[in-house]
Amino acid sequence: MALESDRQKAAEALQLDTHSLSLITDLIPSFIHVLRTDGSVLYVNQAVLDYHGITLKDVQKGDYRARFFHPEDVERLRDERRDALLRPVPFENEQRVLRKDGEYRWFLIRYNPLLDQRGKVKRWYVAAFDIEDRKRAEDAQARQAGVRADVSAALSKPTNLAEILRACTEAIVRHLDAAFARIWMLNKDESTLELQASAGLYTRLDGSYSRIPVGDLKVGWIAREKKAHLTNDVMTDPRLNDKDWARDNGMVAFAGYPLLVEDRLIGVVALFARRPLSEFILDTLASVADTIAQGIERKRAEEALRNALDEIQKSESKLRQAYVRLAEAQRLSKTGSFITDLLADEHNWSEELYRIFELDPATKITHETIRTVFHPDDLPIYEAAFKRAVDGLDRDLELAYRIITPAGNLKHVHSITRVMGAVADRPVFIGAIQDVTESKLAEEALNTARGELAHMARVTTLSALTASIAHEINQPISAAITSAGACLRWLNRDQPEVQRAREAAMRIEEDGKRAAEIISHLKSFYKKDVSPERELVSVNDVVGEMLVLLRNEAERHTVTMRTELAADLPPIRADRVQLQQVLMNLMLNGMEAMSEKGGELRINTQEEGRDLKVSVSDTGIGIPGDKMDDIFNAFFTTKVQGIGMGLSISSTIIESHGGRLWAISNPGTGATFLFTLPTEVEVH
Amino acid sequence: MIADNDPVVFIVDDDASVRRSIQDLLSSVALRSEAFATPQAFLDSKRAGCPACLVLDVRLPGMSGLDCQRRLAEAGVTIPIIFITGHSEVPVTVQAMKSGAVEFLTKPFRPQELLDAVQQALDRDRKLREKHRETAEVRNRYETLTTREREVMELVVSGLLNKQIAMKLGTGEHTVKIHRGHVMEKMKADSLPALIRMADRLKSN
Repeated sequence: MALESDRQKAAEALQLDTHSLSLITDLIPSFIHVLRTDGSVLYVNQAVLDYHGITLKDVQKGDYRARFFHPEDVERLRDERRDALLRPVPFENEQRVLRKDGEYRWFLIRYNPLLDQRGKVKRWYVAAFDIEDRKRAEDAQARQAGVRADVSAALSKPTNLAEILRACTEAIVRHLDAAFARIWMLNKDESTLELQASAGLYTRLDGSYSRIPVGDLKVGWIAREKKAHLTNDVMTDPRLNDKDWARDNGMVAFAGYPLLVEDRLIGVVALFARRPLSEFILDTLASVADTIAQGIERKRAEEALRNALDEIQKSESKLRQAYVRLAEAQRLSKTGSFITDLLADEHNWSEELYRIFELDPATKITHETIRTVFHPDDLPIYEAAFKRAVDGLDRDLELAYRIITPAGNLKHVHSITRVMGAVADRPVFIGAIQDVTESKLAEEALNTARGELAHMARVTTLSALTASIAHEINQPISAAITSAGACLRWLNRDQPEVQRAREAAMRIEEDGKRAAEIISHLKSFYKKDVSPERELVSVNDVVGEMLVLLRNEAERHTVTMRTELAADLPPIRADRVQLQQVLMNLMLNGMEAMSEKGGELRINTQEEGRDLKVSVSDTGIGIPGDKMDDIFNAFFTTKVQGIGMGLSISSTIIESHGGRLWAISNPGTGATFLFTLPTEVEVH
Repeated sequence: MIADNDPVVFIVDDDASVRRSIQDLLSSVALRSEAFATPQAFLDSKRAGCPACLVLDVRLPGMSGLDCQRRLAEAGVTIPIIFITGHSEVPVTVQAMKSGAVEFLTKPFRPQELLDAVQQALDRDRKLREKHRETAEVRNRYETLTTREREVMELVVSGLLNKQIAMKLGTGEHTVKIHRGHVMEKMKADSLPALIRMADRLKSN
């Protein structure tokens, strides 16, 4: 009985205990569950009932877990919990639990087993602690950490800005519950926002909001005001443009932040969300916006730097190319260049210049080096130029001279030098030197050929004139012989007439001289002048000589020659023979033009400005207008026996003297050929 | 020293030196000369009736020597011409000689050659002038004959006998004899051959 009563007592005590325990537990603000070994709910305290807004009976109805625990968590923890319930050791997990207002809140749930004597689980005592706030903070931190990590990763990627911005919007969508996120950048003239990145629901960049004027819509407003715009109720937001779209797509929240760098707007980042955005997310977003802004700015600076570097590289490469091309051009054109500080005797030569002078590029160039290479005969040219350059007399200096390279090669070079500036008050010269040996040799060959041709033309002309010229020489000879006869007869008289004999002898002398003169004119004509010599020549004298030589020819053609020669003409520097040839050509042409009817050949000389002008006019057949351009061409001839070289050669001769030869038709009949010769010929 | 009827040598050459030297050469052998630069100047000049000859350059300005020769011939001037030329051209030489040139000298010629040619030309001119003078004389005599005397003279020089002439003229032989005597007297012919020569000269003129 005692046993019975003990048990009774114990039962009562237990009942009491249970009751008081339940009273006690109900007083505890913590959530207490008592579970059977299979996990089904045996008891919950008042706090739990209050939290759920149910009675204890409701607890027993149906599956408690299914009703009050978040389905995801139930699913997630099903196996783990089932296994843990079998082991007689405490465990815990975190789950969302439905509150009476319909909100799931995070709880830390601790399970403690009540064991029997054999150590088997009899009951589970479960205490649940609301960790929603901690959980939220953790979540926010995770999101923040995630978005930050992703954004920083994006910003540090070695890729272009568009790619980076896309990664940023993706991070926002991924971590901040956004339906989609976008970034617009302010364009250059700061009037429009241009969509640069879009992630989430929309990824196209060319849609209807790809370009938003500053001030338009939410995004434009954010840009203009440089203020964030946030709403968790887009349907009531007066700034939302398309409410139908928002409703159809379940959009609830909008957040947009200006991207600012030191208060300077560079763009806008914005997102739409289907759930309200927490303060924390908004804070995160604000800070991410700032990070993105700084990142873009840095990226832009980097890109600018990289572009600048690229430019420098390109310039360098261009410079290198230009240098290579220059060297190539110098080589091809056989032109070397130099920069020289004459007084300091410092010379910077291009490769090609060394090549032209046939010097080792390692050679240190000095005045002495240059003097050594100069052709001794041309050395005065260098010395004079050096002096003029140092005295600052010439800004530009052009020289032609010869050099003899160390290997003994003779070269003709042509140099142009210019004062570039001054270093330490000493003039610095820049210049180019061209090896013109080949063209010089070609020119010499050409001159030789031209000389031969001119000579041939002269000889041809003279051959045609032989009869005339023979007659011309015959006259004085004939007169002299006749006078000699007279002289002898005066002396042979019984009373010698010495005075008359003397007179006759003097005439012989005159006539002899006259014949000799004609012959000497002729001799010069037959001379081959390969290297023409310039001397001071009186044009009027040359005209006079031609009158003598061609007098007979004129008579043969019944042509009267008339001269109008200006007195006191200055002498000109010319090749006398060549000048004779030109005049002879023009005069013979004039005569031949008049050979049918005869006429008058007028030779006129005059001074005109700095030129002498010589004209030869005839009254002959003239030049047909359409032939005017042809007559100076080689091999053009209207004459049966002509070779067509006369005018061509004459023209070349006059041009080589720095003058000009041309023809005009006379107002009446015939033609006039004119040429000019400069009175002051520059010495080349 | 030089009289008006002394011969004169005309020179036409465009070369003053040549003209002067020829004049001096002629002067040295006491020959009178006149020089002209162009043929026209010579043609335009007044020439005395004294014996003369012309030294003419073939190639001259304005008018060639051959043209000048032709012009003189056309004008009935019979002055002997000596051509001088710078160079001998055969066709020109032939033409000149055909046209009666005395000589054709190529410059330079020996002075004596010219002098010989001049002398020859002057002789020819003198003879020519003598012949002209004689012809004129014969003509003057002939002018004094009556018509009948001229008829008789013609028949006499044609070789007919007096008897035959009388028959032809229908007159007596005696009358013919008288006419014939007058003719011989008036014509100052000392023989029949002399009369025949006179008749020839008249005819040829």
